[in-house]
Amino acid sequence: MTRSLVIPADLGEGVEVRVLLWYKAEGERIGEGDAILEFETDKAIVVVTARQGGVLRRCFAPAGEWLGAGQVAAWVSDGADDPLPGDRGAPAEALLAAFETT
Amino acid sequence: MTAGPSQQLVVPAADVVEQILVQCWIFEARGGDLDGARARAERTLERLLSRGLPARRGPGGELLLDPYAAVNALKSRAGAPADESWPAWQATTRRNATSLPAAPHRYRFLLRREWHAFAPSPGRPLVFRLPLPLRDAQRGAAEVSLVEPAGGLVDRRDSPGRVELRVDPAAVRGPVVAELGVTFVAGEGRDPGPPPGAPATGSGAPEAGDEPWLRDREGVIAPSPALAALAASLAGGAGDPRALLDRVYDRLISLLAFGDVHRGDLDADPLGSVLRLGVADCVLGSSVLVALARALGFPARILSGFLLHPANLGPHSWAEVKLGPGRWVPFDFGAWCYSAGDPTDPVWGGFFRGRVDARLVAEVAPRDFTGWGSAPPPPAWFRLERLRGRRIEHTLHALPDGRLARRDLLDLELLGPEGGPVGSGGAGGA
Repeated sequence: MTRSLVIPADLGEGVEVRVLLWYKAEGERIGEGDAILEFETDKAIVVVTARQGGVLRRCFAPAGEWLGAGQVAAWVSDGADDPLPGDRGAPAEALLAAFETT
Repeated sequence: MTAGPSQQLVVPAADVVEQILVQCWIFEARGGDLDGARARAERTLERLLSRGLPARRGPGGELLLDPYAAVNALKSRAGAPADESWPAWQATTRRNATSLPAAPHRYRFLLRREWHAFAPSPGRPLVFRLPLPLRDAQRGAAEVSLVEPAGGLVDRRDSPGRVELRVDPAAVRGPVVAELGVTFVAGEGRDPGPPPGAPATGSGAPEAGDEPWLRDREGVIAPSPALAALAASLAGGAGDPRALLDRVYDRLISLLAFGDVHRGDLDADPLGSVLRLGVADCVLGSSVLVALARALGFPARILSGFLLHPANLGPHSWAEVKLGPGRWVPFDFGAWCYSAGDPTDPVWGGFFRGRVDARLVAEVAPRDFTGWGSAPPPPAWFRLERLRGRRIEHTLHALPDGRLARRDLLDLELLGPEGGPVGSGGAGGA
């Protein structure tokens, strides 16, 4: 199964976040508890930590780029060869993750 | 419906006196008459209290007041009855207004920042940010040091507009303190006018890349019936786009007074609240102006940074509106202070209409910001300022208990003229 890492929609309508750092690269395995991504708003820096493992398949915004609240930031699959959704907006189960303000 | 301004009676009277001193008599205080300036500020507060300025007694018997109410009460619109300190307030701010050279000059900006409240970060470095000049034309040499905790610096990352210090949380024993010294160039910013060969009446038609500056949601900017009605009332009439924006600016100067506002007084329609309260600080005034410009079809943005006035060194926000390719025109609501809300004043009415004086530009919303890192602002807050020797202190406090969240000590030196093109203080590129 492939799951989506989603920027929380409850950050607010129209809110953007800037990707600061990917802790993992595409193709790299993520363990439960591993940091995946760091992003910022003008008020806070957030570290996203996996609550379930998988393989990071796609990162949709490199460091320095922007994502909107509710947007898919990445795909994480159980296995490296799991099929991927047809497009970024396709419905997919959300990856269980913790979003910690640093 | 938003009621009148709230009263957060949490600040000792002595701190309010210091605010009045800075606002009205800072030149006198710095000129050697600190005791006299303070005495005048104390008498001002006594008058305001005798006229009903709200206050209460704290547990120890100390007099506690709202941090903003006294200074807000001093201000009067042109022609209206005013406290006897009002002329001093206006004289002080007007002297600031004309103190900076228009041509580019080199400045040295000194900031000591103390973070007293920050989120715990077990296992990860704490992140602290300091502002730097953002615009290419302003950038200069910066020296940054982490003072406390000594030896606690894990990483430093510099980027346009900011320096980021990553600190080992295990080394932290109290407030985190950093110091910044940066030499940069600043000069007056003006409407650059249309490019050569372009029509004098630029249409302001948005270009690719302007999308962030056309959004109807950003910060306190959100869809507002009151603001939409105001925009509609301004939209008609003959004249080119610059004339339209001048009307917008003048209307704001007429409608709103420049003053401090508790964010808790803003409801789900923040800018509608501002229009009802009739008071706006620099962020709120800029937000209203930007929202109106966007509602009228112009890309518009909020800039933030620091005023360089010798007696008003501190954070500030203002607006830029795009009237054509590369033509960003500055407008600063803060000029309300100089004209006392009279846009027809022949000297002060349009002082920052289409121009701004030299400033340190650190942020261009929404994407170029310093950011708060591990030290976000408290959910509810207020600001204070006071003179500390030569330096000006700006503090951020949490409500309702007044706990100190952050302290900035600012100083500035004017080093001398700089050759090169005018325009680094305000209007210009990205």
